[in-house]
Amino acid sequence: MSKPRGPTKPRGEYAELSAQLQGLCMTGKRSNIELRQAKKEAFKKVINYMTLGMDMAGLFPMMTSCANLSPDDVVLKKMLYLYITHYAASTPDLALLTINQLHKDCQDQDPTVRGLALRSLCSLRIPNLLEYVVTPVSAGLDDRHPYVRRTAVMGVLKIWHMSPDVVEAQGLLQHVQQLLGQDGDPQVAANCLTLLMQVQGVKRLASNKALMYSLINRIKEFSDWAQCQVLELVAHYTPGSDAEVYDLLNALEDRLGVNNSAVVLATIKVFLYMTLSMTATHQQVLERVKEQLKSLISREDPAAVYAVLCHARLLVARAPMIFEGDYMAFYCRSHDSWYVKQLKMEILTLLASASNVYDIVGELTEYTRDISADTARQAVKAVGRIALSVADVNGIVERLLLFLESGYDHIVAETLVQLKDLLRRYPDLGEVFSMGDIRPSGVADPEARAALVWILGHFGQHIDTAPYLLQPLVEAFGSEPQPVKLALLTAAAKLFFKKPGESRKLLGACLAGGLNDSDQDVHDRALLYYRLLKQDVSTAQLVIAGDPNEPQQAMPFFTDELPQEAQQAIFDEFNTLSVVYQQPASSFVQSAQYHAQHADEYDAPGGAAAADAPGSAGSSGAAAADGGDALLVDTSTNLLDSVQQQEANLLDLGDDEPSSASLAGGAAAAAPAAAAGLGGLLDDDGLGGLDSLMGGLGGLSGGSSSSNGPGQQQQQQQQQLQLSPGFKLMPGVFQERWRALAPAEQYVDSLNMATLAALAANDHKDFCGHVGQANVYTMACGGAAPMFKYYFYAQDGPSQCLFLVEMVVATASRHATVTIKSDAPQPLLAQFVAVWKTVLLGFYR
Amino acid sequence: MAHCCAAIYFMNIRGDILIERRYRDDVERDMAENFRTQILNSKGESASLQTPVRTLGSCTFMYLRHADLYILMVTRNNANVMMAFKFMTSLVDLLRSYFEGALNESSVKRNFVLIYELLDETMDYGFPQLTEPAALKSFILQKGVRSELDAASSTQQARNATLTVTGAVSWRRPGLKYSSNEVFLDIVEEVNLLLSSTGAVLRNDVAGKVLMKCKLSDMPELRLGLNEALEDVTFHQCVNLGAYEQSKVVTFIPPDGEFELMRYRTSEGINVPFKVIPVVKELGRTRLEANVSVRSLFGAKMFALNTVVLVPVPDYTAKCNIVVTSGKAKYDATKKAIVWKIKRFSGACEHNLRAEVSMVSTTKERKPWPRPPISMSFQVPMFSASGLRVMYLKITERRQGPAYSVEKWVRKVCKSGDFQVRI
Repeated sequence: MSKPRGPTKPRGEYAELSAQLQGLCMTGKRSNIELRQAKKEAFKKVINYMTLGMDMAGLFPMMTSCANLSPDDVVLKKMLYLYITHYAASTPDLALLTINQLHKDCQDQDPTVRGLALRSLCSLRIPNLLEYVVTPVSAGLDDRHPYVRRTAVMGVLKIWHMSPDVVEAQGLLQHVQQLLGQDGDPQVAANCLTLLMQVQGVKRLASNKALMYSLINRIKEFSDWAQCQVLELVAHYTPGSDAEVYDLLNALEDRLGVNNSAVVLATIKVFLYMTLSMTATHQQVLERVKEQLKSLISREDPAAVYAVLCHARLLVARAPMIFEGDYMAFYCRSHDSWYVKQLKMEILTLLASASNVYDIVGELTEYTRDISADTARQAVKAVGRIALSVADVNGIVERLLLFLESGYDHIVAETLVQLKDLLRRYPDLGEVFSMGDIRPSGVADPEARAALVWILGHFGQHIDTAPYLLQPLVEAFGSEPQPVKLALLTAAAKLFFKKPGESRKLLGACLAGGLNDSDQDVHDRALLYYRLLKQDVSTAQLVIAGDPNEPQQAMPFFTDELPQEAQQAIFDEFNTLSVVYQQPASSFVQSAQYHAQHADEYDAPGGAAAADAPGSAGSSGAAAADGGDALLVDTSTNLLDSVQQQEANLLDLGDDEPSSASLAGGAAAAAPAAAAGLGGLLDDDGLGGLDSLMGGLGGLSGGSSSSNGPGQQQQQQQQQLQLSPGFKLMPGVFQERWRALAPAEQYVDSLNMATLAALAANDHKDFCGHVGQANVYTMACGGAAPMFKYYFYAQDGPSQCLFLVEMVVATASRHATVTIKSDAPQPLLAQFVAVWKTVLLGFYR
Repeated sequence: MAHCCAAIYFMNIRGDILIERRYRDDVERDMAENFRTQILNSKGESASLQTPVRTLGSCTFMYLRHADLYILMVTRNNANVMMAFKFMTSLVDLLRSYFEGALNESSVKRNFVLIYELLDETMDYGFPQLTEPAALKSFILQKGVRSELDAASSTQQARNATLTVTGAVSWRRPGLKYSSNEVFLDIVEEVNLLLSSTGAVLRNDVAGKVLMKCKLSDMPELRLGLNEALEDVTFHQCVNLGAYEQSKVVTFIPPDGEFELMRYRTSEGINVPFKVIPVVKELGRTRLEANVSVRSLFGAKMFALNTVVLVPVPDYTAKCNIVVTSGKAKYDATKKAIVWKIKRFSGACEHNLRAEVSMVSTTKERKPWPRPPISMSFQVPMFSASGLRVMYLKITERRQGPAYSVEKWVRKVCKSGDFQVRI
């Protein structure tokens, strides 16, 4: 027979077992009971070695004959079949030998044995043996015992995965379809449903209204797991009318009160999907399911809470207003695992708003005392992110500055990273606060050190000691990690433009260090700076530090959250792993795999949505490409919106975002020449991005405007839009001008539900306040569903040109119609439209 | 689609495979080995930072830890993650019920054949089938042996049992007989409290469970009346939810043996069992003074068991002089706290702790002490923090009528969940 192959298998034990089994094939002098017991022990050993990963396939004949000699011992049979199904795929010839016995057992009197044999038969998974499997399965579907029937139904599914044609040819599907309608046993019906959902696709099955209603009517008979299947089906049903939706919701409402959290979440999915087109009802549903989510969070096991929180995070991101008042439910408990705490803090960040922000920040401050440094850092990060998202930022900044004095390295480090982002958002803050006496050489964390270096460089004019603080780092340039080196180069260059006398040596040392560096990025940047400076210092300044006569540009917003399209794609896959990964299934499920025949409609929406949204596909794809753990890497740091980067100074890109992935991403977006598409973006590790960046710069110095970025910049120099702060317009004048001017720009935007709710919140004042930050002021706002109306105005300072904006939001179709009128020339108008769209984008949820 | 997994593994704490059950072909044993080498045994910062869902390549691992075991589900699809975790917890409950509570590495090793049998029945081709302990126990027998002396009769019984496995009342089999009918009902509540340093209530809620143990013959119907209508409550599948919606009476035909009837949560009208008033003062760089008074707010006839108060002190504590009015208190360096234990804390009385803590003086600049919260754990029998009471428990059996007599036992216990006071 076949020789033992496993390298790890201990020869002695295998031989011993083999002999033992051979002996047991003969009755000998032992009593029946002794023999059974001995066989059982031997079988146990075999299964045990099998579990340990040793190759026991060689014992096949002995095992089979041993068991066949004691045909009435069910446990022995079970062990044998477990053994057979385990090795069948690797030894198909031997499996053939057992077919007879399995066939015989399929006719056994005992339904348990019939079911067992049938299940084992279908689990052999050897295509050549299919012909032997089909007949018993077909007979099993008509068995008088439900246990056998439900096993047979799953058998059909197993056959279908191996060969759909056989199932087709034998008419097994029709048979199952009949069973689903007629069988009185709920588990049989449930398995039929499972099978058909796999084979025919959920969407198609859900269009069978009669079937679905009959399942809903008997849902209470089903086991919890089967209920999940039924609910999954219902979630894909498209109701004919609003009345039908209410009927369905009423019929299923009690499912929200079931102990099994899987059923509860499946029901929540039904409720959300059913009411998608009914805005008001959808809000009510969210209010309703919110309670269920809160209670699941408070009492399930940590792992299950994790899954629930992932779903809560998705819903909160979609509709923060609904959850705004319930922020206490997401407070961490001291016994929570770190991953639960992390998710809760993410959710707290999402739902922070004007009404609750101080409570939340106060609570997060408590978490910074957590024993785990990771949790404490996470808390600081959450505070920083909240500061970026709410309107009234000063109190939070004070809190962050307090963290700097906490004395704990990890807290100081994270605070620096957050302050850097905050300063990019509100450059004016740079004048207000001092960084105290923190020395970059005392900050251990590389990311934080790079952040502090950036701050010192960028705001060097306010920090007298900046060059001296950087000095020790420059002296040890070679031993710094790469992100710090890059930051040092840029900071030294910026300081040089601001304080040439003090910083000359610093820059020299940096460039020297950089040019000798083995890291390609560092070397290239040093070389670039060196040549720029050699060419013309004022041009170099324009490129590296921006125009000193212009006010500093603020990052209007950071997109930490998922882009809307990606979020929608994930929502379409509610109650699956997608929600945990925050990726559509298409990005982590291999399509070309063993059951490629899946006509799975699940993948379709995700794939389509991802294709619609190159931005989201870019970020998610980048993470997915690394495979494995990369899926779980916090992508938020890389999600800097490329649009923003395009507007920003070209060279600031690199030092703003030290991570090479986003460097590549940003650069590729800025220089359209490098729009090599997704594939290119993924393949290059920052090198290609920098190359293209250099290419773009070459264009700039040569004075050509072949690429968009430099062209735009030049235009801005000619005629820069500057909206007058605090500008006031009398209503009469507004009306007169509005009538006199023709529409200069008109477009329609579609909004999501959360944005709609956010618009109307606080009597529209939040939105108007947000727009006001960009020096666009409100003439009138208001209205209730189904129509909101807003009128805004703004004035360009230098040219005194007026911009008038009308925005009409239809809540039913969720469309915003924007009309802009102006007496400004085309270049200014285009700039205003860009500003306006950015402002709106910053408000969209 | 919605299948949960392609394979289930049981591993010990080192990641050795104890049980392997593959339901589909698309995962290899190697995946489980990878899980061990790359996730469980990975060193460094990631070791402590492991989420319950991980990936390697396109393979997803969902796992949870129970005692010294890992239970792991592997899939390559976009699985229903909630169902997967719930299935694993149901599996744990099922096995615990088979092993009478002790599910750990050694019980898994002892009973691996039984576990394989159960895995066969609870899941088919990655789809959960049946996880009800009562129904499974009727045909998969405890010891995995049924071929001994009473082979004939037990086989017969098992055959009958299979019939009920997929019946309409899947959680109970007919024809049960007990010489005396008994039913035990336990209300177990966990009270969570978080007070700010100013005494403001930041969080206060109660999570409760009603646990039952039924030793009842035939097919009894139970009606449980509660004093208040609970807001946030979920029930075991045996409960008639329609009847509860209408009349607020919990009506059900119970499974045999132990089960969890319902869970509830409330955050209103809570009776907090203890009041804690801490005063912790840092006197200079090397001295700290703590005064903690704990007052029991329940009736004088009741008492709390195993009360433990943890009063945190700075890392570099050298010595503690502690005076308490009851129980024992001492400084525990590993917990960085003064541990104050009171075995039996009577109702309506107050106990105090007064501690003078001296710290090691160093020349090095010291980080400020983060002042972690005081936490407390306790058990108060017969106390209900939510105010929930059993008004009545009526048991009727249709065929036996008035002849059906039952002994009923009702207990209550209130435990501490997250009970903390910030200082």
